[in-house]
Amino acid sequence: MSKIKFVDANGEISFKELDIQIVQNFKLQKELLYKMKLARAFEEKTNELYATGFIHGTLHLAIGQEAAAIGSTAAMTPEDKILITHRGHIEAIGKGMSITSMFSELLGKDSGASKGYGGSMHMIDPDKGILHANGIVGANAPLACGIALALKKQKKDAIATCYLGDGAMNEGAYSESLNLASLWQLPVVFATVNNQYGMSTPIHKSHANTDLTQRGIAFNLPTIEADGNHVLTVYCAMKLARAFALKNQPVILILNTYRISGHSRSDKNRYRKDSEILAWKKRCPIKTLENSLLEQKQINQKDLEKTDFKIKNKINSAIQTAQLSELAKEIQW
Amino acid sequence: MVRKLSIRLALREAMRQEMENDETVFIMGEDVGVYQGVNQVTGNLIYEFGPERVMDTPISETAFLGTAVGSAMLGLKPVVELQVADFISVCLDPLLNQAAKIRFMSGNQINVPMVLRAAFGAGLGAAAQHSQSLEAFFCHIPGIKVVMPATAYDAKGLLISAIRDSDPIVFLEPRALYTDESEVPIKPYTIPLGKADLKREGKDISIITYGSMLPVCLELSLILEKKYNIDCEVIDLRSLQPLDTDTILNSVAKTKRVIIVHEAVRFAGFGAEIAAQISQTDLIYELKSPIRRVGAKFTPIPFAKHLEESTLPQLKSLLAEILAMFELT
Ligand SMILES: Cc1ncc(C[n+]2csc(CCOP(=O)(O)OP(=O)(O)O)c2C)c(N)n1
Ligand SMILES: [Mg+2]
Repeated sequence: MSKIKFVDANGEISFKELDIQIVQNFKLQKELLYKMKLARAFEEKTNELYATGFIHGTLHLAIGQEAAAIGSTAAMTPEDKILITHRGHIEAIGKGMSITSMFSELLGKDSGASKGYGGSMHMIDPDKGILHANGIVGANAPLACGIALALKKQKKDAIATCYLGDGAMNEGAYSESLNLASLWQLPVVFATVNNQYGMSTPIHKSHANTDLTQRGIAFNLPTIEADGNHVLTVYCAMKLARAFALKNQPVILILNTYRISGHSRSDKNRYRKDSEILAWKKRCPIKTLENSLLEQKQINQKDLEKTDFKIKNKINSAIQTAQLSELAKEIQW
Repeated sequence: MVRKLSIRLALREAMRQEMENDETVFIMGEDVGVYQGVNQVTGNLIYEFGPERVMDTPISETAFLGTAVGSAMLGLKPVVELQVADFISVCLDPLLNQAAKIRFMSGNQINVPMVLRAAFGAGLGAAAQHSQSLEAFFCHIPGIKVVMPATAYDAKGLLISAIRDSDPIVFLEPRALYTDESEVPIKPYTIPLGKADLKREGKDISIITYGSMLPVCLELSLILEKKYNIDCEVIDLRSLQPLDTDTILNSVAKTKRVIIVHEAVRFAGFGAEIAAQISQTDLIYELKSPIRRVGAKFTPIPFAKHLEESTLPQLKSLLAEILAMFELT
């Protein structure tokens, strides 16, 4: 368990311990474990369905990034809004999207999250606060400012979170949005899932300054940086970020993690070493939490087997329901 | 010697040969290096020419496209890759207000010899933001040329011409056809920009097309010949700007029937321009059937396979359109 790094708008650095009440909240931790396992099972199944030709189109998996997505979404309320990326399955699950509607979407069904119109990259569910799933890198940032502006004008007790990758930080739209959010004091969190790469390009080949916590200083914005593979740390960091945003102080959240899966189906893994992937596999966010709960005797092997069984059934029945449902319909618009 | 290459490999060969032939030519784009390009077009060029000439960029399209334009102003010849044409949305200014205008605004003193390569098109389940055919949009910008090969032979010759040209060029590659093969000479060769190609000669109807719809039109012409004894002429425009109006008009003068086929949305599509060009001549009085246009429905591209298919022009609907022109339905 590591501390949360806080860099204020002037660049002053401080570290924060995790909230002790959360560290001792085992009910929460078991929920987080369950959601991460469900997300992993969903993605593995999805990968299988693509490989066997059941699903067409493109696919961006976030295997290895479960803690960043689940920990952050768990720290939100149902009223909070999020915008997710091309790699957004897990944030969607975390924010409450049903995996049945997700499988339905992938199979091009009318009962799909986006009624069969979006596919893997674009699962949207306004009822759960998932307002966009964007295939244009960086494009979420200005939209999130607008959503935050609306929440502020409407005096809602809620924030907007813009998910983006480390690569997206180099889009012009991102920098413009940081400035605007800061200038107008918008209730927005720029949640950066730093998985070390934009496709094949590592941070040191794409960022002139590889310390991602320094970007905010130019825009008078605070930054919170956390171990994105430790779900409790992520949860606490997002709570902190959310508290700032609720007070109309926009904030950058950096969650450091790693994409074990390839970028997409076109990825031949030519740009990284197996040893690097292996090292990160050892830091699996799911295993980390599981081991911690086992050590603290909060769960035992039997519980784990039960959970795995439950998840397997849930996945299978979701696929069955999806398969039986009607094909997507033409919409009049 | 007969040698077949895919469109993908023909494009790579064109870049390789131009880079060997002219040291000012270089490649820029996202993941064009060790990833070998998201569409695997740049392939191993990084190992042949090194990172100085095959430059991976940050995800900063405005910055790198603008950089390409700037470098071209001083005589370099950048070949920029945009992973899919849809991303032009985030970097339009360097193209629309800069590259396209600089030669004009400088009174012909400064050229921008740049090529912007981009994959385009649907059919792969990539949904609304990664499937568009935006050529009409590019053609509406005076100052850039718009080139769209549909075969490997044309891809190589046109890309070499584009790289050697002194104006900015948008070079659109049909994503669904990257693996399509045809005979490609090993030596470098050029195909003039603005010269259409008769992919099939015929006397009964002119099918005017380009890009991803060419194979469909050729298949269709075989069916029409065999089953209905209709002899189709298939014109592949290859470049939309400049446009080879002569070839179009000569063909229509012969066949007196014309249908224009593209994957792009039909409404305000490039077909409208061709139809208008024909209508402005006396040929309009000789036509045996009104000019028809076939294109995608006026909707973003849906994800679900069956919906994506019904949005795009299909062989069946095309056949029905043509039969109607011969009063055979
Ligand atoms: C404007 C734009 N440029 C390029 C792409 C192609 N593309 C899709 S994902 C991606 C990498 C994004 O990297 P990052 O933001 O770090 O997110 P990650 O994929 O690592 O989750 C790229 C270049 C795109 N979708 N949109
Ligand atoms: Mg990344």
